[in-house]
Amino acid sequence: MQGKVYVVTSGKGGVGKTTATANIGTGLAALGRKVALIDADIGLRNLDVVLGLENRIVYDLTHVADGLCRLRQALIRDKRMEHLYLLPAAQTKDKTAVSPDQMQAICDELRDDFDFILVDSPAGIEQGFRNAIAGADDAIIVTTPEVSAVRDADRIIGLLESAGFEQDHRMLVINRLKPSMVRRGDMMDIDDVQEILSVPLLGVVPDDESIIVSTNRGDPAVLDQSSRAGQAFRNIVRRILGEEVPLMDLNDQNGFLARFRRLVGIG
Amino acid sequence: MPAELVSFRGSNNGLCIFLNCEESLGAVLEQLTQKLMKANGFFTGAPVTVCTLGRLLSPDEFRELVQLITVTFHLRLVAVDQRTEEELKKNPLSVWYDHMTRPPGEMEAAGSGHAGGERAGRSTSQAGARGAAASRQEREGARSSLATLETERAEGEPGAEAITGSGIPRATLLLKRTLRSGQDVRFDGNVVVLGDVNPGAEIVASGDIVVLGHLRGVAHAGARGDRRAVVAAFRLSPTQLRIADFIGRAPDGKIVPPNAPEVARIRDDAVVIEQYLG
Ligand SMILES: Nc1ncnc2c1ncn2[C@@H]1O[C@H](COP(=O)(O)OP(=O)(O)O)[C@@H](O)[C@H]1O
Ligand SMILES: [Mg+2]
Repeated sequence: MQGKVYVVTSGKGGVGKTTATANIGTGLAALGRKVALIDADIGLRNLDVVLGLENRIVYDLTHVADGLCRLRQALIRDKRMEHLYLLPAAQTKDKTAVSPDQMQAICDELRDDFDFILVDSPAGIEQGFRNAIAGADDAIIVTTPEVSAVRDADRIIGLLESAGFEQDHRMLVINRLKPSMVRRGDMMDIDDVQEILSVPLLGVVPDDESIIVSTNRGDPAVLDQSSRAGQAFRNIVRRILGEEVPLMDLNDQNGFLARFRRLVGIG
Repeated sequence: MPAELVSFRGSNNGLCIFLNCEESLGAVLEQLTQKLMKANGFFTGAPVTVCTLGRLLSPDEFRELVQLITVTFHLRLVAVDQRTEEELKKNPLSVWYDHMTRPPGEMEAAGSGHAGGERAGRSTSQAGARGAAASRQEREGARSSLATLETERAEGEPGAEAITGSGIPRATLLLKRTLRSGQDVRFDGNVVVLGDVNPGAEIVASGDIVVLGHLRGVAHAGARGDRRAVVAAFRLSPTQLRIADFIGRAPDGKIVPPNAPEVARIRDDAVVIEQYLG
């Protein structure tokens, strides 16, 4: 079985690509899949930090591309998940240090040994983006429900289209949704975003402090059973594996009052 | 042995045909015909993009090319890209409809929103005053939210209308897709979109623009000066709407278009939006 390559991309920076890559990858590995993560954000690497693996880096993506080491040597095994590996980015070079052809070759080599390969893309539409998509079969587009992020996601989807990613090879993750703001009409809701992007929805992740806590600890939230964002990522993982999972109710607060209300049937 | 005037390249999006831009178009199309004949139906139904490498086609030349590709050889014409080789190199990943057809001597008003703004800023105070007056004009039959669509007059170019007139038959470009942010279509003729035009996308046409979907980006009809051109959309809520040398922009804040097709046109020196009545 040949593994499948996903690129996680967005256009705009800071919308949650790295967070999504780390959580989806960890979630897939937690269910026993063999997963390789590639940090294609050369010069601004941080997937290693989010996974808490920074101290293990010896070789990176550019070394592999330049043939200075073998792919196997550069892959770092995760400290929690037996089947999760990271190919880190170089911190000291720039995006032109790797070419799309080299990226494709690396992705293809990983297909033999892994079920899933996730490529964390840098922001922007320049060479870094072209590198990130070069070896990918499918694209996961991450956006926040903000007009500017959606605009950039739309741009990216257009570029993905012209790079040959057909409709059924593109999927959307809406990150950092704040139900209370949506209710007040201060934030785009899922339908507003979908209306413009019209890309199949892979999942919606609420804005959640546990992401920040887990990121700082280098411990993906997807493993935290009490994290709502973690729950959203676990759902995304199951959808990637082909399960039908309904969108979780983001309005559901797990506070005592909400539980009480549900119990007595008034919420 | 004649020089290579036509070259083919396959890509993810189908076939790319590059046409030499120095030789006469007749010679180039002749060689294209021969090559396609030799291919013996191999490309039938294939999506193709024709790159003219900077050559700007007249409407007649465009029709001839379209005829050859679609009618004679049954290929599926995706786009005619008229960018120069350099421009292509700079942005090889660029969307397929980028700068498709730049009308020769294209009006400056067809530039970006910024340019438009600058132009308006530089225009004579008289034109500015007229623009302001026009924005307050309302007409019977025009929908009420119309008053909020401010009409400005870009710098007058009186000669411009003379170039075209609705009497001239125009080629029509049909796009079966949604235009996304950053994608733009420029076409010397009418443009019909079977899909949405998202914010950040732009259509510039010398004729009419019809969107069978939601128009939220920028549309410029009659870009060579034809004030009879119209912009029609199934849902019309453009960021900015230009017809000939008139510019109308969306009111600031959220706009909810009525659930019905509408047409924008120029009446009495203002861009007005009316319900489409067939
Ligand atoms: N669902 C979320 N809730 C709260 N904070 C989030 C969420 N997703 C991402 N963040 C925070 O947003 C910031 C940017 O996320 P990151 O994944 O690094 O974005 P990108 O890789 O797209 O630049 C980080 O500080 C991250 O902790
Ligand atoms: Mg990142």
